[in-house]
Amino acid sequence: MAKHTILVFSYAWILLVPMSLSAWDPVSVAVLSSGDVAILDSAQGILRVSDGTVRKQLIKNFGFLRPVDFTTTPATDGDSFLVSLKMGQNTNDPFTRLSRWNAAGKQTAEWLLGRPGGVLAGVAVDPARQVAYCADGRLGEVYQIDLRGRKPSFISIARIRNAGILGPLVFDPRGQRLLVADVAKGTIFAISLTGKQVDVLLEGGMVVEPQAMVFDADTDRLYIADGTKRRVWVTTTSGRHPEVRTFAGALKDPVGLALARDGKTLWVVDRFDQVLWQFAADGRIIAKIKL
Amino acid sequence: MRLRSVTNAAFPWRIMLFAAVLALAPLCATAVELELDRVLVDLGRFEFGKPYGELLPTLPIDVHSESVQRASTDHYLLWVDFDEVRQTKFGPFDYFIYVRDKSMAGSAVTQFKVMGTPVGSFDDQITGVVFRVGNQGRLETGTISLPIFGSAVRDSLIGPSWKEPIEVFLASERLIALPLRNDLKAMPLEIRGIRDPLANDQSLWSVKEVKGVGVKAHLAPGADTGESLMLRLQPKVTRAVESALVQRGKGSRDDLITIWVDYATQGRTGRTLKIEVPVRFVPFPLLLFLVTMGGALLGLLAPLAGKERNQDRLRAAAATVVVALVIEALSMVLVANNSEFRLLGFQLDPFQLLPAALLGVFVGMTGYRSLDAFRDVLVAEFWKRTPPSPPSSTPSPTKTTSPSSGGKPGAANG
Repeated sequence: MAKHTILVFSYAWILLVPMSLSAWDPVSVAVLSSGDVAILDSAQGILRVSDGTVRKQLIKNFGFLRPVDFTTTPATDGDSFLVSLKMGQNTNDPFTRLSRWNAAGKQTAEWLLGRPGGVLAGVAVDPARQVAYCADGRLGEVYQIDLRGRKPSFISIARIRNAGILGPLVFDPRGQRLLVADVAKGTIFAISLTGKQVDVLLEGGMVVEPQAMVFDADTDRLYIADGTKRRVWVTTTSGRHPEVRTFAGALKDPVGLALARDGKTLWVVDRFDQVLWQFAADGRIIAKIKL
Repeated sequence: MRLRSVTNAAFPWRIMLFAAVLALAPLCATAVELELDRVLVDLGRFEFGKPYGELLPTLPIDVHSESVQRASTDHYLLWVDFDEVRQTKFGPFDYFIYVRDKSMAGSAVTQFKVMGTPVGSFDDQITGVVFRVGNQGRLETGTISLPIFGSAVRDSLIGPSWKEPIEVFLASERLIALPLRNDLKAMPLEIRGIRDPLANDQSLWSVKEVKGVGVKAHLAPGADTGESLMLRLQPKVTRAVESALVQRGKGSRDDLITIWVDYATQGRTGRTLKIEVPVRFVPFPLLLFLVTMGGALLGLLAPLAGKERNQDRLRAAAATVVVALVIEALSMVLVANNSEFRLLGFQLDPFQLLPAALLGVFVGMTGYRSLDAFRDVLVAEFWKRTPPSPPSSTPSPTKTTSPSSGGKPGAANG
């Protein structure tokens, strides 16, 4: 047996509070109905940010499961959260699930995917019809689940051939379609919800690692956080030749995007620097909040 | 598809142009190319995607750091910092590989970001990865050490477990070794911290702490901490004696100490190992004998009440105490060698205060007949594992007698 190499100190590091033990590990961000921002953190659950400060821990943690992505839906008692979860760090996960939490931090429902080899990734919701959509990062499928059904279950609505790793997912209410990104290849797909047809919206290459997306239906703008090129792309989805713009800012690893209700402010959470950025629509930096 | 960069409209046009150039600069294709081969392992493989490169003015990592691995070919130098390897939220792993052309002056490097994806289940490991680096199709081949990761992660830090509670004396400190082992054969792990031990009953302890391993301690593949990590326990005597008299907790333990060890392997986020240490309070043997003696004298009071002379009392007391002590000592030896001690059908632990006292009382109640009782004890079922079998229901073929004739009624049934 190899000899151990241990650095010996006189006393061990005393760690009493789980939150102080875990550093930040933000993975997604969303805007609440109140205008505040919620951050999904794999170690610390869901936290609310208002007036530039992390105010409250809405959901403490997810037990042995790790969150991947989330979205919010308005509810009578405040926003509820739909969170895609997987067990530990496995990329093949029989326990991957979608769970719903209310504003008080209580879990109100959960749905196991139950497919061998599948793992849930991005999540989006149609709030009008109360239908959630999830991308499967391993099987290349997109599922829908009726949240108001008596026994909701995942139904596959599209399978993308030769997909790398499906990740972020957004819902386009006007176009009645889903936009899903391939994290490994940089491709953005559009899935029609009426005909279930899959089209390529943006070929991979320019966008390398789309880790998050947010869609502004009023202006037809799709914002894409690129983890490799360390920037946020902006493109329109209509027209034969979509144009792309980039945001300035010292981004290191943008993993989450959220758009304010008025469409004038973009929130970007950076996993590497553990920072929440606030940008104006023209790319100007409004605020930088250290987590 | 046209590409435009956006800047603040208030800026002068020259600055806008400069910013546009800066925004576009990272997008320019670098001259250096890099490819990484897939790695085949038992039960799986690890695939690398197409590296994306951008030119940096200087190398942003410390090449002398322990976490930095280096490789070289005839014309190129490569570095990778293991601390920069990490798993993305959707599952793949990101690597940053820095390449410098030896023939070029200056300190500029090309930073390549590569995404790696596991296929299949295998242990995380550090392995040599074949790469090709070059320019305009002229590629040179080399090997660089990189961590690769399996699809399914398992607990890689193994801690101790105990089937039986650890004995802790009532009034002294106990050090318990907590050997931790890195179960991965080709990947080190880092112990990031050990939380303050938590007891089910905090009031039992005056001291409970973990000593020996500090922050950022590394365990090589397959290595263990040996006895360098220790749990130090010091019970509060009064509370411990109370606990020893009255059985606490489940089974034969008096308390359960839980310790959480936080650790991480390269590229993965942290995990936690939970160690549960069951403990049982054990009095010193001398104290047990004293308690037995006290119980014997207490039990002796009943048979001696007002009937015997002082001389008889002393004789009975001496015999009782001696017999009680001998029985206690014998029971301790035999129980320590996996026998059972039963009194009136109840299994008792002679190493605990209350059973020792009860033993003394029982022997004491036999009074001056304790010597006879001792002989009976030696042949009794105290030392047997199974209780005595019930009397046979089948009558044995013996002669019967009528009750009126005065014969022994029990003889017919044996």
